[in-house]
Amino acid sequence: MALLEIRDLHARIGDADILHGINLTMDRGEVHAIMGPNGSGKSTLSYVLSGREGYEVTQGDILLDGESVLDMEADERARLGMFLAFQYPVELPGVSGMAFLRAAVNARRKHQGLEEVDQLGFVKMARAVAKSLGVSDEMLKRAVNVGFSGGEKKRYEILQMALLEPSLAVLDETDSGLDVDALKIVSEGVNAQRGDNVGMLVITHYQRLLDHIVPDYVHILAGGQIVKTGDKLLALEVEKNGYAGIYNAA
Amino acid sequence: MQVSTMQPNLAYTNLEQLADDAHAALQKAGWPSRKDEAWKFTPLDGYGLDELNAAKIPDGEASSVESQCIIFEDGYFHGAGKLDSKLSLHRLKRDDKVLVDWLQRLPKGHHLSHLMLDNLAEAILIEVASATHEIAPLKVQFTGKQASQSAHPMVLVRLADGASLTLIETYDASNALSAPVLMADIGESASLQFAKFQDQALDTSHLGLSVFTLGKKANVNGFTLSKGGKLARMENHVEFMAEDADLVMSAIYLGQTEQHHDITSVVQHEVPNCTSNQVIRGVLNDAAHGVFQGKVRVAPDAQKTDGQQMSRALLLSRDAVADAKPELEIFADDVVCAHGATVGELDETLMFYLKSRGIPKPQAQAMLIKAFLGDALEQIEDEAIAEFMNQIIDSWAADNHNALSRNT
Repeated sequence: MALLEIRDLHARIGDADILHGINLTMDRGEVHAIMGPNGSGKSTLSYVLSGREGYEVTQGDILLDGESVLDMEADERARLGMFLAFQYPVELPGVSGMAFLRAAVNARRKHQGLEEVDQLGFVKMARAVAKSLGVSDEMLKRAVNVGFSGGEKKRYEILQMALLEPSLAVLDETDSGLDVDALKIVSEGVNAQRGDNVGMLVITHYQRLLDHIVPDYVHILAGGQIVKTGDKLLALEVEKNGYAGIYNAA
Repeated sequence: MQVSTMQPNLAYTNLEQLADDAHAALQKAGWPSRKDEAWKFTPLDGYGLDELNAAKIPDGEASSVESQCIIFEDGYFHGAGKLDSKLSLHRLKRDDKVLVDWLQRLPKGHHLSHLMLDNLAEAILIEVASATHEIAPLKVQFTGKQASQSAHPMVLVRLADGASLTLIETYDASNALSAPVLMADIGESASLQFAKFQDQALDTSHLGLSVFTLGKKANVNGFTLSKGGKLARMENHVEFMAEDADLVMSAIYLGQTEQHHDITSVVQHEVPNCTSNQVIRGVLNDAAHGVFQGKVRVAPDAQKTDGQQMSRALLLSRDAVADAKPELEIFADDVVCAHGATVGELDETLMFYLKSRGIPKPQAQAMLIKAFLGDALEQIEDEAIAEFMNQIIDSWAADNHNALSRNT
């Protein structure tokens, strides 16, 4: 059974129809890239997948491991194994990072029928994972994302992904706001988590991210539809000819 | 101690004159209504308060009271545990000259002053001497069983020069009305930490007035939590009487159902070089109503005053209402003063971030409520008080899960 199946997905925000029939199937172990210019519906797709309020699905379905998630709220989807790495992670002043991470991990563990992790055990777990991602103890102690640089925020997203061990990770423009060095660190973090148990949907405007996180498939999103699908070479074609060249050919 | 500057012109020599005048004023004005500027957000007419009579002296005395604890029942002193050797407790009867001096320093023309003067039976005076050892926190518990009566306890606290006290007041009486008055004189270089926790039954009212007078280099750190009652006004007056004194005063109100919480403060900078910092946070669910009124007055001589005041209210329901009336009256020109007030809702973006991590909505809401209140809680210096207040707030946020999901 496919990990993710998006069937003829139509969605709107308020009166604006954004997605016009998206079809996509991916399996565990695969990395799919969704590329598209600004306004093509990339961010809307990530929010609709993760269940953000205000985004209305008007037609079609989203199946995770064969089960429709449309009636589920964002938190239920996350506990099932869906993870969204935000393009712009929000700051949560006053929310302790450790308490936040532990609440998230325990919510998922509880759903999986696993024992919840106590505070001490969790601190150990989080520190070990953080170290491998270059997240300092000092960052772990702060309030969520407060005072973090752009690169630190993205690393913190990947840390959350590593702790939650999702089956489906949606990375929304993870490269935005990152310099080359930060991009490398974040990509290494993502690549370390690639494996047979997780499918990744990498949403990006630019090809450069895909030099670091090499996809198995590349889909071009335009006007709320996937207009072309190919392998990693398609991303290079975008780099060379621009999006216009691709639509015209399609 | 700056006694001379704290003593106003004493026009009265006995309590009966004061009480008679207060009684006449109450008769004439009645309970404050919306037309009363100081009470426009919290009108008292219509609560049936005028049908109440002061509770009778309860029988007996509380037995086996824990140490450093004083108990009031139905507004009357009801017993005390063993007190620290540096504390002395005095019961002041109505005819006590010392009491009359204190009473004349109640806010003039104030409804709650009149109410106290009209009902006062006796006051408890706690004198705190300077100590070389650390004095354990003093707890004052206000309880009451006479449900259809009103309670009018009065506590006076005098901190000698260099003295230090942590005072914890808890209110959980089931009297229809509790109208406590606290007056505290904080001597030179003396330090008072206080915490008030109002957790009365939901069918009762609370009208509390506290008056703090700060001497030279005095330090006050106070926290007020209003959580119980159907109608609660917790009013703090602070007067700086000598230079280099510092005040931090924070307050939180937590409203649900049709509760009405009012936090009112009047801070008077009469002398130069003092600081006051007020941080007020409120969370309102259901059809609750929250009010913050804060007046900061800086007298012409009070140069180099630093007076800050910030209130924020968080509405969890469309039917909840928050009012704020910050007032700065500045007559000095070399001061740093600022005030602000905001009212908002839970941020959808923040909620989505937490939910996208699998954190269930009620837990996510509780986390954001707690974070919102953080600025006020962080002002508390005493760790034991901070921990106690944190627990109460956690449990309130947890209790409000169901109520929250009703609204969304």
